[in-house]
Amino acid sequence: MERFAYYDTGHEFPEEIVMAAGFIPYKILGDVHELTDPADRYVHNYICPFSRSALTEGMMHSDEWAGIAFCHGCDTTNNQYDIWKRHVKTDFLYWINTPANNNKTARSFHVRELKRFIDHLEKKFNVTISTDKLKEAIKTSNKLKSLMRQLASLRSSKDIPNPDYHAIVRKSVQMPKDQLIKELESTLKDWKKRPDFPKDRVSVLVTGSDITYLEWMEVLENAGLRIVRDDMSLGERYFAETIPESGDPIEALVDYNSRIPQPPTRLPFEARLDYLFKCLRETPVKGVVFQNLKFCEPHLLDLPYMTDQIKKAGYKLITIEREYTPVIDQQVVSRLETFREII
Amino acid sequence: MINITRFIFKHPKMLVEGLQGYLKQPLTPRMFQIIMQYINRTKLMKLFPWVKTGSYTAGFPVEFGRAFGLFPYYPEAYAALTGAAECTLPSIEHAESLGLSKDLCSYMKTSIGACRMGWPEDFGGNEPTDLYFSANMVCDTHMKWLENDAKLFGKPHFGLDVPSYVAGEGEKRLEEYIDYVEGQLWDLIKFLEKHTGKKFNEKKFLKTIDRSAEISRLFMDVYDYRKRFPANRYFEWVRLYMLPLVCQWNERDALRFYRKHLKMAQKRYGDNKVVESGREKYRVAWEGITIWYKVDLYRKVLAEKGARIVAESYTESFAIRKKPAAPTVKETLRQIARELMIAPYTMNLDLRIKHFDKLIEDYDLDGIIMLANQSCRPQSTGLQDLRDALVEKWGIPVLILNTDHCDPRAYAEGPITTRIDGFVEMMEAYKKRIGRAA
Repeated sequence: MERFAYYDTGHEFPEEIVMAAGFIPYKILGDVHELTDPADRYVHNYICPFSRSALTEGMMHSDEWAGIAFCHGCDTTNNQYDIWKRHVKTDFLYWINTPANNNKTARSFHVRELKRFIDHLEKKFNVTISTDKLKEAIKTSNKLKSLMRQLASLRSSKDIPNPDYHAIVRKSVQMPKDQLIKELESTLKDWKKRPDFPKDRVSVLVTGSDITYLEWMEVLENAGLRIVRDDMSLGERYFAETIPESGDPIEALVDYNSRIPQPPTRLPFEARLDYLFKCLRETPVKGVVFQNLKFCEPHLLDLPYMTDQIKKAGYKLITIEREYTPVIDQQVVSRLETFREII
Repeated sequence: MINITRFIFKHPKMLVEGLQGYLKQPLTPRMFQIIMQYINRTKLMKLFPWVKTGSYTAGFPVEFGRAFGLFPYYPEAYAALTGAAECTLPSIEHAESLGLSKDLCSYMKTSIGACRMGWPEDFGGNEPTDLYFSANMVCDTHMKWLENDAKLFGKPHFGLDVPSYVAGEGEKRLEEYIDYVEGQLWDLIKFLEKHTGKKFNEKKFLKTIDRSAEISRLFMDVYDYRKRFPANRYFEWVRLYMLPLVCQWNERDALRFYRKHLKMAQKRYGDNKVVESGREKYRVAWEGITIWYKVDLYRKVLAEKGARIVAESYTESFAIRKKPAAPTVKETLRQIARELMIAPYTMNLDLRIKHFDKLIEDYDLDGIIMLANQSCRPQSTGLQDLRDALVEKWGIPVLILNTDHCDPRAYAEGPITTRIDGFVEMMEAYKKRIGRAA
């Protein structure tokens, strides 16, 4: 089976549609270890480094993918589509205009956008994306999400280092789903047997930009902070909700999209804060880490209000602006260690 | 008035600096009067409890609120004028002290910083309004800026989600997007009915659109005289001249103002918008927001070398209403939706290249300066491809200039002047190459 790549800044892409078309959905996550020189030829270095890494991956690896789809997300994603169109070699580059609003008008537009995507996939790849195939894909997705929820919930009671959690969330958006389900089932057995939550670790909730590479998880680990909840697209946002399995599958995908924890690019703003507080009520944590990737505007724009609300609610919080680098920055580790001491 | 008096008492030096900043601008007394008239009215309206006010981001279709009697506030315009007065730095720094990153939009930080310090509109601040309106066709910052303000002040917010009309898409897709935006514009009418307690007056709305289209037409008619040699006006003038068009707080005054300027141009140049003797040495287009705090860049650094900015998509983008109202509200809403998606400032890369192809021909350009704006990433994205396409097709010199539109800390005098020297040499060589007389 071929991989079908997608680029979204939240969790907007309907993986189930490409699964029903017979492809393996593959989320483009860039590679922090590779220089972004190919992308830097076209994108200024004061624009999101993750997006430049993703563009580099597109320029270097697009021949490994059947096609690529973008979803409307942050400004960077939206504006770079045109650059991908010029510099990434692919027979199929598609734009899904996921609405930023979350109301009746937006949902009806979203249904139309997804139907249009299906139509284009069917024509381009000569496949039929039937209702039954979509329902089958939704079931597979739900099974995966359920396993991910079980695994993620173990973080607060078992010894699950941050990099281990990161490894499975990364796999969840890049691996063939059937293979992944088997692996997650075996991981679940393993994690259940793990020792209890270590006493020398402090539990935190992490929010902010998506952490797309292992090394930053190690930064937190080195500082003695253990992520037990998160509010990230490469994380809980991906598996927090279940897709309805009855009724029209396209309507179900749109309904699902409207209920998932919202990224900062979506309206209304409260949805994001509500999820964050829900997490904090469900799982006791000692502190909140609000980390932002340099130049990640949507998160940077939310930062003052969000941090204010979190502090008002009585939580200890640290904000970190991080570079896109695999280097384990000891200055950041040191700041996080101090935070650990405080909490 | 109390606010400005208090401000002057606390910051006498800032007042002097602001006045000095304004004195550097090519302002006629009438234009200065218009600026002050708008700012004073924004203050006055707050004193009338029966007047409802609304804050808007640039490009949001203000006519809906106007049809419901809402007085429009433009935080971005106050920030721009504060930039022209060269007084943005304290408010930007204050905003950063509140947690807003150095990398975020300097318009937004000027406004937020000034508001939180309680500064008056003359220096970038603005008091809470009854309603907030923002759209995302230009940037996420617009949407989140006023959404955050609305939340902070506990006021209703309407967010208009405009799809991105990306490169390679055709009329069919555009029509689908128009359906979506039209749906939201009907939602906007309901939102206004709910929060103003008034019924939607179709006749008044269509009339407002007609006036708006007339203002845009008059603005562009005067603007078009810049095609002629020498251009009647340059960027440093047009960026202030566009204020009534941007803010539209009083359509009748705006119409009178632009009609008068068009008459002046017609009297002076007749219908000749194309060629006359006395060409500028270098005719340049500017891509991006103007550098508000550095009018000397246009009036001295460039002008002294004979380079003048004769066209810029930034000011043109505000003349967004291309057609008068259609016979029905529905058709008018669809017209507005289309205009929102294909204004020069929101164009995709393919359309942007075509737009510049036309500018190069229409304005007989010798060079283009593109602002790689450190706190406006949407505008900066795609500049390299735009440059490459234009250089490949026309061989025209393009300078990509790195700085910021409202944050003077990003402006490096020496390196920028050196780069402009090199750019002017390139334009000279280009003119010789294409056989254009100096």
